[in-house]
Amino acid sequence: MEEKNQHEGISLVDIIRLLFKKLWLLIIVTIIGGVLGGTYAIRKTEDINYFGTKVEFYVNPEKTKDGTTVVGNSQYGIYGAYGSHIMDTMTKRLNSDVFAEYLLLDGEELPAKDHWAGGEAGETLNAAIDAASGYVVQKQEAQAAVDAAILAQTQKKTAYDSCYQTVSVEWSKLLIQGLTTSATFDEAEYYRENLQGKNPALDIAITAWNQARYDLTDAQANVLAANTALGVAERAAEGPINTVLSLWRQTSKYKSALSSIKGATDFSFMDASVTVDDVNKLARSFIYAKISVLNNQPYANDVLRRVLNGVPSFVEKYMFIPEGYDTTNCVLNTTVNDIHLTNPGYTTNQAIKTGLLLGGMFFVIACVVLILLDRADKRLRDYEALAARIDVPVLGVIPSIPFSDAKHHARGQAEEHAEKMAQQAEKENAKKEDE
Amino acid sequence: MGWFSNLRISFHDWRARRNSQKNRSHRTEYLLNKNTPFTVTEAFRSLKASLSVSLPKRDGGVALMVTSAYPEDGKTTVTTNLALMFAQSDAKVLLLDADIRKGRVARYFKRKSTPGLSDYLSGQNTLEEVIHRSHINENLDYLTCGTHSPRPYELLESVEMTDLVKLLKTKYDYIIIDTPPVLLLSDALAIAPDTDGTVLVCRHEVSYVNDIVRALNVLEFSKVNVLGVVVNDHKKSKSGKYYGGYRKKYYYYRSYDYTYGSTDPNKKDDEPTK
Repeated sequence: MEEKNQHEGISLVDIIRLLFKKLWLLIIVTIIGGVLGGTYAIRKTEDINYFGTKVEFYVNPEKTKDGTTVVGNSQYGIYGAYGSHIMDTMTKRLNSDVFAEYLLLDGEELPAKDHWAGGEAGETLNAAIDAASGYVVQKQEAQAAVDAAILAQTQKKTAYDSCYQTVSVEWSKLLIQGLTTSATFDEAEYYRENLQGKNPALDIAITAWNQARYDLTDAQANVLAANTALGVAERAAEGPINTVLSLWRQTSKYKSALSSIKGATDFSFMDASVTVDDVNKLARSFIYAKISVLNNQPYANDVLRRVLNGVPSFVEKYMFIPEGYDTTNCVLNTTVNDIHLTNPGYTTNQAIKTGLLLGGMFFVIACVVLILLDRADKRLRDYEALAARIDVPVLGVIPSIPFSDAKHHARGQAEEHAEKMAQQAEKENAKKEDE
Repeated sequence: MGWFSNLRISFHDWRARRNSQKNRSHRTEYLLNKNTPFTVTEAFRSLKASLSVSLPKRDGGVALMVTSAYPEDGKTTVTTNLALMFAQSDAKVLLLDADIRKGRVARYFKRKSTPGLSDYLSGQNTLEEVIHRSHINENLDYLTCGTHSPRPYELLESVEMTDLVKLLKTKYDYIIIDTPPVLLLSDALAIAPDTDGTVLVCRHEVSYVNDIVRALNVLEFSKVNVLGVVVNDHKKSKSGKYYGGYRKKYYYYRSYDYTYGSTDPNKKDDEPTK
């Protein structure tokens, strides 16, 4: 028999019809996939709880440590042309290992003893810590001396300024201009030769001013000396501290602790364009700290405490100081929210996502399987295609006989047969009677 | 690969049996009646008309063989109702059950299959004893398969069979012969040379296209005059695509709802519809 080779194309309409025919199956398969996906996601994520919070720090490079605000728009300030770069650099440092280590030290110069290593390594570390502790104490004392000297200097400066004001008032009464705060040699000479004794108040004020000047000079010298001593102490402590840090960094606990604390924190800032608008200026002035810890709320609380303590001092210590400013000032800006669960509903969301994803995959696979099965099904379905293929005519197409009709027919046939038998019996009886 | 073919045949047989068992009442031997849907009746009428044209015209009767690829394709139902449809057009028709192994034509007429064809061919009964008039239509006679024989092929291939067919052609306008499946048994090929044409019955969504093709190849190789194919048990589907032309026809037929048995389209049946 001549069989025509026919290329069976795939019709999209046929595919859609096929899939629609098996819609119930696709729905069931999709539901099964969704349920399986959801169940799997619930099992995987039911123990995933993130604890954390967000904190804002306000950074103002134009405010000195003594609280005096210096007005300026230096290009090196946060509001200046390089402000974005400065903040970017700062947040990168906060996200680096340097700050993570700073947090681990928790405000101390040296790590805690008997915590980071055991055995021989622990003993070596402890010995190094002991050796460096004395230097650290000296350094701290030197720093305290510097702080005290600075405070004294500040006080002396205040007194000096006050005396100067008094001298200025009295001096101006004599209608003499040009008095400077530094009281040059010529001016001092001029006073001594020409003015001494002419105004008792002026004499007293100048005497007090001279004394204040000497005190201020002494205080400045003390600050200088204290700073020098601090420098010496710092240089002396540098070696032992570096030894301790070097040993500390080699311990495995250090690495895991560093990794943990680094993973638990994230710092950023908002890069706003530089305009004279205060809002934009303020936007760039914030450093945002995000804390997030998996399944360990106490640790999250500890990290928060370290961040609150560490960020201001670190920023003030390392941030680029604009020209003409003493130091950067960094303060906590907002009320700190307690550590709380940051992913409520995470399990549900994941279950829904995974369920939808898996349900969708099952649906697609089911569609593909149905289409493949349909293509593989070589039973007679399209008689026109059959006729075209085999080149033999289809003489007739007999529809499927309805079920109810077949049943009805069976009953009807039985009744008909009984009726005919009765008629036949009647005829035979009649025949017999005739005979 | 013989075991694979056997497996496939068994599977096909099982599935066909299962499919037919699903609508168990379809296994009741169905004959066209006044309750038959118009579309079914018209389908048979249309088939009859196609065959009337296809069958070669000659003096005397015409022998038409009906076969299928595998069992449970509805071959006997189609054969019996086709014979009934021929009989309705006032032609003298004999329905001959040549499936000596598993003939079922007798059941359609609520009769035993013996005595029948095999008894006649083996000389145990006369022709008058084995041919019966149907109670449905006086133009329709039937000859059942007869006693089961261990040599059915030989009986069908015998000279007696050839002579019988020749004799029947002198008495009847149409001899519709129901034969076993051609891919399972060769009985149909034994009787084919005595016939004027062959029709292959296949079942929608049950018969495999490859099996149909193979059956046609077998028939053509045996130089059988294949008139065409009949698709049986065609299911109406919502999709519509596979049954494209049929669906349109069905729509038109519904608007011409002629009842069964009426020759005059304007005259309705006297008997009330049950």
